[in-house]
Amino acid sequence: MSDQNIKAKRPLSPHLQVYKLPFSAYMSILHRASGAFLALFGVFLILAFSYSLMCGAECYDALVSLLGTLIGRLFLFALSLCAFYHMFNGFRHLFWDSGKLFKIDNAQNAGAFVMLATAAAVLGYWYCAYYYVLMK
Amino acid sequence: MPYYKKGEEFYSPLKSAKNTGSAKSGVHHWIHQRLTAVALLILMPWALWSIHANILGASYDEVVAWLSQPLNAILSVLFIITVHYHALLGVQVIVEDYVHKEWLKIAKLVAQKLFYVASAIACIYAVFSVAL
Ligand code: HEM
Ligand code: HEM
Repeated sequence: MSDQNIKAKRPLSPHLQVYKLPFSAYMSILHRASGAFLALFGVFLILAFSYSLMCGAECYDALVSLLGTLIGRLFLFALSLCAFYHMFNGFRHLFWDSGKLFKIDNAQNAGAFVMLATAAAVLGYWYCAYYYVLMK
Repeated sequence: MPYYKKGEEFYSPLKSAKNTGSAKSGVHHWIHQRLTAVALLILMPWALWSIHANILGASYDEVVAWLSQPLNAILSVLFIITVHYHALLGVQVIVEDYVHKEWLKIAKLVAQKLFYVASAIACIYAVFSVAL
């Protein structure tokens, strides 16, 4: 088969500047973005946290008070958002990988569920965090 | 349903030109990404719970005492290994997708691998040195 023919028969991929992305496409991008955020900053936080524990009480307290500043809290909030979203959506990915949830309706409902679960978990988590820390 | 069968029209000349067909290796990468994902599905909730219940608002000594319990130390090390491996695999795919200059791609892939391996070892060393 000639080059031209192959090209004509191939499905086109969406032209991003003029194509209205469906909901599932945004979720897909968010999975990658949240994964990248976690891989960079989450891993770095784990490293900093472990290192500060090894280094001693002063290092640890310094890290904790750094994370307690407004910017530190915003950072942790973003991190928790990424973690919960990526976790729930990763679960959805694993359903796909086992051959389930491929019908568009099912995939979209699962996506909506991921969004709701993420919102509930992040809010609950921070509610708990404040409740727990403030009550101490 | 597959979109095409072997021998049908969507094969491109690139396949013959590059002489590889599929990438030859890569399936293990995909499988390990899923395996670590399944493991993280258990370890992440544990980690989030632990941060919430045992680390937030706790003093240095309390955190060290928490980490010195064998189960917590072991789960922490498992979590560290799994996160680093999953993150390395994930970040590798992203770089392969977006970075097209060959030398830059290879440099980034190598740098990432070194960083994640070093970071994992440093974290595990720290856990042991605190817990033991
Ligand atoms: C991964 C998710 C979550 C974790 C790890 C978590 C963990 C915790 C922990 C450790 C406490 C403190 C318990 C104590 O005082 O000793 C707490 C309290 C609480 N959590 Fe959560 N939680 C999570 C999600 C949620 C969600 C989604 C909600 C609600 C939508 C929620 C609602 C509450 C409430 C109302 C309290 C205060 C209860 C009390 O002590 O009277 N939590 N949580
Ligand atoms: C419960 C926890 C997690 C689950 C279930 C999970 C699941 C997954 C799955 C199934 C994929 C493959 C997605 C695809 O093929 O497009 C993936 C990709 C990825 N994950 Fe996770 N993951 C989790 C936690 C994490 C953590 C903690 C990190 C970072 C430290 C992370 C970083 C990444 C990255 C960078 C990718 C690549 C994204 C891409 O290729 O678009 N994940 N994850």
